[in-house]
Amino acid sequence: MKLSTLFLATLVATTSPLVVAQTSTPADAATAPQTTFGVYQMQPALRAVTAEQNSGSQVVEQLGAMQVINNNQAADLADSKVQTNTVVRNVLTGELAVVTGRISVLSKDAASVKAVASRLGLKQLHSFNQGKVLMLQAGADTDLLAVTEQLKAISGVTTVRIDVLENKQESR
Amino acid sequence: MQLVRRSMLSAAVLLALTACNGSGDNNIAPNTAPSAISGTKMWIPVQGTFKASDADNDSLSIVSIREGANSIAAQNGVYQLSNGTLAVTGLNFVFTPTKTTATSLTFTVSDGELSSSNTLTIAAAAGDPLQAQQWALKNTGQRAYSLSESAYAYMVELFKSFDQDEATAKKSATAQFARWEQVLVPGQDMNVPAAYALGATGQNTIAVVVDSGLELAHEDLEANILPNRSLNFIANVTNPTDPSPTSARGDHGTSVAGLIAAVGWNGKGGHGVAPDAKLIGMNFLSAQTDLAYFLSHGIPGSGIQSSEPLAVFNRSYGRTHPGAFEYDLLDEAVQEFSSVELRNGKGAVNTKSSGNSFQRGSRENNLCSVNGARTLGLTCYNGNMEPSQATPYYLSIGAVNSDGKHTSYSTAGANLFVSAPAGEYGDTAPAMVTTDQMTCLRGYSSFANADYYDNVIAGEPGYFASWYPFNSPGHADNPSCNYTSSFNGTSSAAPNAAGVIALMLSANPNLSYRDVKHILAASSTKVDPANAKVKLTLADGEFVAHDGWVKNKAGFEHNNYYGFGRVDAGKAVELAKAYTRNLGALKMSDWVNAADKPLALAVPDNSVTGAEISIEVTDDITLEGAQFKFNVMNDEMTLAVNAQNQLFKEFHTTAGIDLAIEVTSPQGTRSVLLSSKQALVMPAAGDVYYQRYILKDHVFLSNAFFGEKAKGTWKIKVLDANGANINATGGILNTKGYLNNKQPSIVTSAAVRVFGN
Repeated sequence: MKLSTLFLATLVATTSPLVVAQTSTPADAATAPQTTFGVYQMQPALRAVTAEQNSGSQVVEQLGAMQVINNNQAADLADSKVQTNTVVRNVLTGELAVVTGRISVLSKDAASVKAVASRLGLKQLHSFNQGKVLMLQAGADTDLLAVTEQLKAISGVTTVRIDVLENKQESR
Repeated sequence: MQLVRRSMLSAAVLLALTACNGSGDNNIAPNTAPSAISGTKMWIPVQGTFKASDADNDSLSIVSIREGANSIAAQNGVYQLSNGTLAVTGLNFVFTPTKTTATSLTFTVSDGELSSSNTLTIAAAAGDPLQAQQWALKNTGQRAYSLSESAYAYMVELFKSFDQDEATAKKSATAQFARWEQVLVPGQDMNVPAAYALGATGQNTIAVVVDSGLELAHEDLEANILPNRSLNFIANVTNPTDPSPTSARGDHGTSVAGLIAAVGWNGKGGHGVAPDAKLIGMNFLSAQTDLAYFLSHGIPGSGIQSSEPLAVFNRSYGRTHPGAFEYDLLDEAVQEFSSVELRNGKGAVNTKSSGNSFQRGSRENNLCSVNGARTLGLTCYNGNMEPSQATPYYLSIGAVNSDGKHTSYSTAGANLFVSAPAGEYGDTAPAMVTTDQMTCLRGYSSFANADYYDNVIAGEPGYFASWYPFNSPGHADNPSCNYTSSFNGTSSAAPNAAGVIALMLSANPNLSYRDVKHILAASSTKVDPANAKVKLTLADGEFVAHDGWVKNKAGFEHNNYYGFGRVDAGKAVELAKAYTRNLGALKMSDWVNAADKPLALAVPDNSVTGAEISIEVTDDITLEGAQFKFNVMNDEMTLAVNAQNQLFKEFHTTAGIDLAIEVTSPQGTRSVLLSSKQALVMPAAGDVYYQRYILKDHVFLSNAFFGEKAKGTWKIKVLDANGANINATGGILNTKGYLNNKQPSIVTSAAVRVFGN
């Protein structure tokens, strides 16, 4: 259910827009956001656990079954790798997300992808649409950035996507 | 001769005796017996016969029908009874219940001279207590619990607080109500009873509700839910086949499910558009991952068999982001699977809500009020900004009101396929009456929601009860708070359309998902026929930013507000039953680029000149849709963060907001892909984000060319439709304002892909 604007909004509306300064755009004091992969920025100060694994830490955000909590043993960003349960932030939305450890692949050559995936220790979870779409499961400690680079290098691969648990879509 | 004369005389007498209908002394009056109708269902016609006979074998006819003391006049053989209609032909009749009350009538049979009377007893039809308020199914001008007495009382008090005396306040409130009541227009509905009359109630179809959850034990859903088939995507739950919600103030999916297939004729609640369809729930919105997304399209492992009659996946969700997303080929491949592989290759239909951001989204702040989009009637967010609205495999559904016109919120775009009722907010205009989480302890109808409205939204005790009396615990028609009257949004439009699709496929299970599209395009109602163009005056001419209704060369009429119009269940089922067309395999062209190398076409600021592009398509395809892919850049379109790592741009550019795109087909039909004044604020994004891009491999879908020939020259014009700063502030970039772009935007690529038969 959405909230009504009702008539009150029109009765009390007192919009008085600011006048844009007629100056040239200043050089952005800010900088472009840095990302770790895609639109996601790693958050080494946070980690994701299940409710059973959480021993009383305050939950920063609940995502599905995962609880994002502060990481008391925060690793240096430079030393961190993207792996299952890594917490990331979507720089476009500002929302947190949790890496699931799965990788989605769109390709024209499923056999090659499967062969490379097997060599990389990735387990095939699903394959459909004549094998064009594959879902792979990485081990808990697998460096997902490294394996995705190798998957992208396969001829015929169109898309390789690290799966994240994220509240991207909203009900309407 | 004498013998002959005698014989002829005998024959003449015999003939006279027969033909005079008993004018002779030996005529015997007709014999009648009490007749009865029972076991009927609301809106479902039943056939019967008046019990009457004649010993003389005289021809008999019904000469009068009386209900109580009232003699009822037939109009074209149809008697309007207090509880339904009675269509009479000879001694046969068809009774269609329109109310759940019983009645008894007196019928009189005549042989032309003598008559006899008896009674026809009509038992109460099975129905649903809230059905009469479901205007989307049959609009009688009902209020659906909006515009209530308590709301009127609130208005009177409000006007009194403006120092009006009691009489003046009542006059003011009455005048305001009269204005609001103009939205109550009988007949503006989906014509659902006509579909039921043709025998289509959703039987032998399945609808999947991909949403927040689904309360499996709901009293008005449970009988239609396929046991152990739903999915809860939240990891480690006790029962992964139970997506029942735990939310406190309403479960979106439970209300969506009721619109599609709440159980009919069970004496509880209302009923869905397709009350005999079966339901599966998947709570994708509660645990969004690629895996859940894939499974929600029925891939192997989802439990869905390709042999099942899976009619429709309803997707009342989406992304409302003030920027353009790159087209997602991986998602398209998943979408294609559901359309191509399921239902034995005939495909399931995916209905997608177009969005609720016609006036505003959330992250652009006051942009679309300040830049005039709202006043002009231009959509703040374009449906095509979201890739899943531009796929060949989804049907984007817009929302209309109980007067048939565009709702205040329904996101527009050339991608819209059809519209369906959804209504406004259930306070000053009707919304949907549908299922809600059971009990008054949870749901849209609950103590929790009343508290939220009274204490957080309005800061005024009693506000909720005044404006949403049906949702307020204690309402006589909603004693256990199992239903709501305030569900709306394109979230409601999509499942209403999904219900119609289930009706179509119950009438004709041999239809492919593309056949369904053809029938919907041909059968939907052209609502708001006077919908006007929106014209913008640029420095050197006029740009039509919204065309209203456009009739293409194949005879289909399309409107960016409505698609092909509001779905008509009766007509759609009628066409479904008679459908014989064979569309053959889907033909889809490759992407046809404007040039072999990157373009560098400048888009003049505030000018109708635009950057013009021609693309030649050689494929011999009758269109079921056309997609257009663009890269458009502007160096001012950048994203930044401040020292606190928050998105920030002190003064941003109007480049994306000003962008407009129009396409003209080889057969001369124009479609506006971007109107300008939309919330294209952020640089384009996809798997990564793209600094300096307004559009990066962005795909628009237009349905406006449906049925036309694809072959020939497609003409595209990309414009900048504004030359001034925009004094809007805040939003996702925390900007202090938008400066008119100093440098022209540059089109670096354009391409067309067509598909059809």
